[in-house]
Amino acid sequence: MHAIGENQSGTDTGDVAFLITRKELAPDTSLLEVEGDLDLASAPSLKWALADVQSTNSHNVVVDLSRVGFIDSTALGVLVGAQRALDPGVRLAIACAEENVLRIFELTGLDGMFEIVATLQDALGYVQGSTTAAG
Amino acid sequence: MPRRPGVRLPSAPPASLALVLCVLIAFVGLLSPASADQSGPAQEASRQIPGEAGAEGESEGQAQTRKAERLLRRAERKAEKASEAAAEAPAPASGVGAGTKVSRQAARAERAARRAARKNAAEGATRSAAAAPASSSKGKASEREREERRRAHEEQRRKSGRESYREKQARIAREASEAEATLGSQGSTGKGAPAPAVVAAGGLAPSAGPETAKLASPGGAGAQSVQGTKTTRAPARRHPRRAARAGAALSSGTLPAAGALATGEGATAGSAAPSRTAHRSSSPRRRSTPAKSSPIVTTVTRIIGVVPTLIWLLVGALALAAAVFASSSRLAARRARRLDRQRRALLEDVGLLQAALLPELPERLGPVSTTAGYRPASGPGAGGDFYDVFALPEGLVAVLVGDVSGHGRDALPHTTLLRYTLRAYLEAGLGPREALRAAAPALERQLGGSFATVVLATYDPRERLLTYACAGHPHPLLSGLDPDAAIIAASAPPIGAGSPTGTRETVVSIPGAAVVAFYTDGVIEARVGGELFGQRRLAAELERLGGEASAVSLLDGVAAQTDRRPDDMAACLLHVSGGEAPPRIVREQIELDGREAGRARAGRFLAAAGVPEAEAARALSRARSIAADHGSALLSIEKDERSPRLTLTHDNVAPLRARALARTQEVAL
Repeated sequence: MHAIGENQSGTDTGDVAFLITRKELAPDTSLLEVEGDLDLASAPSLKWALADVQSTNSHNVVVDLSRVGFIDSTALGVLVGAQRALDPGVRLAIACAEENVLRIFELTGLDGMFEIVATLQDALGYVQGSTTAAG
Repeated sequence: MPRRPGVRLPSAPPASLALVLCVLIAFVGLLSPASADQSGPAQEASRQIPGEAGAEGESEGQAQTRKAERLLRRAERKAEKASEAAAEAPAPASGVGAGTKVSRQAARAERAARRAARKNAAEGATRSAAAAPASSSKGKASEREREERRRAHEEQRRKSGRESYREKQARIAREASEAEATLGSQGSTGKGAPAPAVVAAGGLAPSAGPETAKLASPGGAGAQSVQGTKTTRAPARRHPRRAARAGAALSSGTLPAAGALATGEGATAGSAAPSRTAHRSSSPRRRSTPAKSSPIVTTVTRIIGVVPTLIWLLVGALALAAAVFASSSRLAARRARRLDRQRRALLEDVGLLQAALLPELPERLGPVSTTAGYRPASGPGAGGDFYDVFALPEGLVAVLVGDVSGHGRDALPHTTLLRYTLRAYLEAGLGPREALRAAAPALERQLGGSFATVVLATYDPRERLLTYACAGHPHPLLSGLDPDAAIIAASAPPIGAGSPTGTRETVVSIPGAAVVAFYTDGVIEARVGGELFGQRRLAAELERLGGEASAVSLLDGVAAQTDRRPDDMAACLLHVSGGEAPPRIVREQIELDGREAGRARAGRFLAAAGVPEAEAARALSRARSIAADHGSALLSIEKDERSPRLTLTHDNVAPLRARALARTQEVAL
C-alpha cells in the first residue's frame, strides 16, 4: 500500500473536526480516509469526494471509516448512492473496524449491501478482485 | 460651501469645537444660506482691487476708489507695525493674530479707519450726498469741495509717483483731522451726515441696516467695494458696537460685509477696470442678501468663518457617511423583514404539508391507546418523517413509522407515497414483513434514488402479540424489555437501497401492561455533547416516564437531555394495558435467498438467536438448498422455549401472488 497522491478536503462540523483525505492506493484504486463524524453536516463532503473519485475513469474506491465515530442515515444514503452509481466492473469497499459504525451498518441492514472489511489490505484485495465477498 | 483655499487659519480648532460648529453651521445654513457663499469672493476681491483699480479710469467714482485703495494700503503698512491692534479691537483680534492676508487686512482696515475717521466720514457723507440729494445740502457742498481737492491731490500724486513715508504720515494725519472736523460739523449741522456713514457701514455689516444700504446707490455703490472698508470707522464713533461687529466680520473673513464689498464684481474689478454700471447693477443684489441679519446669525456666521476647510470636508464626509449608513440600514431592515415574512410563509407551508402527513390519531383503538408526537429539527431539515396508526379487521391495530432520506419539499411526496402504499398493503391483509416485501420493489421504482427506512407493526389484542418488520429502521422499544433483546444482525435494508427488503420480522408477546415506542432515527441521533442520544438513553427515558409516557412527553424528555437535534424527531406510542408481566420476544424470522444463506451475516443472526454453531451450520445448509429450489427459505426461531427452536419453510412467495396464482388456476378449471 503506497500513497501516490494526496488531496484533502474537509469541514468543521462544530464539535468534531471532519476531514476527508484522498490517496491513490494503486493506479486504479483511490482511498478516501474519513475522519470525524459522518452526519447531516459532513455527508455532502463525502458525497463530493466520492463523486470526484467516481468521475475518474474506472477507479475502484476504498472508503476508510476506521476513524469515524458515527455515521447517520444521510451519510449512509451517500454511500448507498455511490454504491449504486458504480460503473460495471468497478468496486467499492469499506474498511472499518469501529464497532459503533459496524453496528449502525448492521442495524440499518446495509451491512449486506457493502463489502465491509477490517483492514485496508483486505479492502484493496477485494476491489482488485483477489478476494471475494466475505459478507 | 465654496471656501477659497487660500483663506485658512493656521491652526485648526479642536475637534469638540468642530462638532459644536457643525451644529451651528447647520443653523446658519438654514437661516442665511447665501451669506457665507459670498465671503470667499469678497475676501479675494478686497485683496485684488487696490492694486489694479487704481491704475484705471479717471471718473469720479474711480478716483474715489483709488483714493480709498491708497488709504487702505497705507493703513495696511501701518497695521503691520502696530502690534497692539489686537488689544484695540477684541473681535478682530483673532483675525490679526491669524496673520493671514485677509484678516490682517481687516485689522488694518479697522485701524486705518480709526485713524482716518474724520476723513472717511466726510467721504461717506460726500458719497451719500451724491447718491441721495435729499440729505443735508450743507454737507453736500462741503463734500463736493473736498472731493475736488482729493482728486487734485490724487492727480498730483499720480504724477509724482509714490509719496514718501513721511508725506504719507502727514497726509493721513491731515485727512484724519479733516474727517474729524467734518464729522463734528455734520453732527452739529444735522443728522444727514451720520446716516450715510451708517449706509456705508451697512454695506459692510448686515447689522447696520440693509434698507439704508440699498438706498445708498448709485454713487456710493461704485466706491463701495473699497471705500466701505474705511467708512467702517465713521459709524464706529457713534455706533461703536455696530462698527466692532463689522470689523469682526471683516476679520473673520466671511461676513457679507466683505461680500458686500466685492463679491462677484470685486473679482471682475481685479481683472479689469470696474465700471460704475457694473457696480451699480450688482450692489442691490449684494446688499439684499444679508438682509435678514440678526445678532444670532451674525455670531454664528462669524463662528463659521473660522472653520477650516479641513473641518468642512470632515463634516461633509461625516454627513455623507451618516446618510449612506442610514439608507443602507434602512434597506437591510426592509430586506430582513421581507425575508422573515417569506420564511414564515414557507414554514407555514411546510408545516401545513407536514400536518397533512402526520394525521390526528384516534386516541383509542380497541384496548390500545395511542399517542404520537413530532418535533422538527433544530437546524435545517424538516420533513421526511411520517407515521400512521389505524385499525385493521379482526381488531388488529396497525402502526407505520418511517423516514425518507432527504428533507423538505423533495421528501414530502415520498413520505405520502410510502405511507399510503404501505398502509394499503397492510389493509390488504398482509403481515408487516409481507407488506414490506411486496411493496418495496414498487416503491423503489418510484423513490427515484431516495431511500426510506420504515417500521411496520401490527398488534393483535386477543393474542397480545406485537409483530413488526423493519427496513433499515430502528427496532421499537418496549417498556420492560431489554433494548438489545431484539436481534439486529442481518437486518433488512431500507426501501430503495437496491437490495431486497422485508426479510426480517420479530414477534413480541406483551402479556402485561407495556408501552411500545416507535420512533424515527432523528430521536436516537440527537446529540448529548458530542455523543448520540442512542437507544439506551431512549429506553431509560421510556422507563422513567413509565405508564404516564406519551409520545410528546418522550420527545420533550429527549429534547431536554440533548443539545443538538439535527434531524426531525417523530414518535408513536402504543399503550397496552394489563398486568405486571414484562414483554418478551417470542419469534425471530429471516428470509434467506441463495446469496444471503451463504453469507456471514446469516450465521451472525443465528448466533445472536442463541442457536448452537453446529445446528446453525446445518440449518443454513438446508436453507441454501431450499432457496435453490424455491428462490428463498424462511427461517423462524421460536424463543418461547428454553432453547430456540428452528423451523425452515419455503412458503416465502408473496401471498398476493400466490392468491393470484390460485385464482388463475380456478379459472382454468
